Amino acid sequence: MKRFAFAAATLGLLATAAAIATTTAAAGDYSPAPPPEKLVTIFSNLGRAYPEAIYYPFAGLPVLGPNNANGAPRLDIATAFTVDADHTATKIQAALLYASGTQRADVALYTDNAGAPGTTLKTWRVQNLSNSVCCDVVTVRAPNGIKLHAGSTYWLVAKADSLGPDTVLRWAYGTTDEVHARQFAQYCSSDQGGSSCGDQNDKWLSTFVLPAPAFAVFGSD
Amino acid sequence: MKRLALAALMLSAVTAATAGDYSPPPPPPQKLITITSNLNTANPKAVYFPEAGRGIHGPQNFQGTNEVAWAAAFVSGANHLVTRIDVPILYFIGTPRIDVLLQLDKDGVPGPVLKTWHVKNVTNTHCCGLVSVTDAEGIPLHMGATYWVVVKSNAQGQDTSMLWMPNTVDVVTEGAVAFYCSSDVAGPACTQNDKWTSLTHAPALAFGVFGPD
Repeated sequence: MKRFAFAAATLGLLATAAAIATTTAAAGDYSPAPPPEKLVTIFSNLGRAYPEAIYYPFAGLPVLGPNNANGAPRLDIATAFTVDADHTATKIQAALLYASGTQRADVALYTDNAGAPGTTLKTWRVQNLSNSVCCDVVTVRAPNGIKLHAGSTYWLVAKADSLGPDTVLRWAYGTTDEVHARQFAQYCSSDQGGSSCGDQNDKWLSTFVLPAPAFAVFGSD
Repeated sequence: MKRLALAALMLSAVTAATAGDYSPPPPPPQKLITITSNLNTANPKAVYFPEAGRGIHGPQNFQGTNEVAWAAAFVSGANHLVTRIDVPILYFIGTPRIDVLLQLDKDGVPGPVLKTWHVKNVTNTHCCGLVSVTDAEGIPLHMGATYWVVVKSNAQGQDTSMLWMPNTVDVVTEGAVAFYCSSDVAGPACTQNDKWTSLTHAPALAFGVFGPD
């Protein structure tokens, strides 16, 4: 049996400034997504209508530790969402898939600052990241809740932590909207290794991405 | 569990994403039943994954690569008539024409042709247009038999390059596909020149087959 990846190739152009990471499929490499709970969906682009494709695991945005095996600089990825009413976030899910290195990362919720991640509201240390083709998600919780305010923009950030400098992850794309670009930001740093970030070193660079990395924010009204 | 990162494959391609570059899918089949479909009808702005797909190339394509056609198999669960087939084919370069065919199975690859549709003016809508072909009388399918939806270049579009996009409803289950490679005119030597090669992979190529019963 042969397998082929849907990969960057001679015909193509990359969708965003950030590189698209692709992989091949592994047959039967499937973990069912966690069952939904009785929470309000504050934001979601996880494709819950199809449990075997809640995200597209074969392509996404890379999250890189500073000493990753790819020889690339550290790269943090952030995706924005705007809250349409006051909510309290208690659970966040993100389609972060392990690729290589240490199986850990930080997931963090940030406020917005002039169109880029601003102040950290909460950081979660995540270990034992999955590399199932589908449909595991990283789930983090805030039992006491995090207040989100109507009309405000927040950022979900994924980045390598200090204990996983060689981490390589892929934040897989959503399967619900291939039309509307979503605001995202990437933080590039070549301070500890990897190729140069040029004049964008140690800065958040905001742009738009289509399709957007898949994630969901749940909570209460 | 094994993953392979493959940087560049002749038979694959990535398209550029363009915000707001949207054409709605054609109206859903009225009063037709779904014989098979992995089109994402629950999310009409993500009917398929438009960023990367299988390359379909005419023999004189601008890339100078092999002539390549792709086919996706399905098994008819009952006796049916096919009156419509939807396939997410996106234009890339060259003459915007291709052929869509429905073929019988022969030893696990596309066999005798049941019908050929010559399709003109294929566009690249990014998402979510579909090439939709119809047959008013209906093409009979027999319960338990395997059929192939085939997309290939035709004589009037020998320089064409198109992309057939994968589905976004099941990225786990492997689909049966086949590709036809020919290096008679251009490109590196094909492993099986001028023949169909079958394989399975996930995600399966997206398509839908519909009929009145």
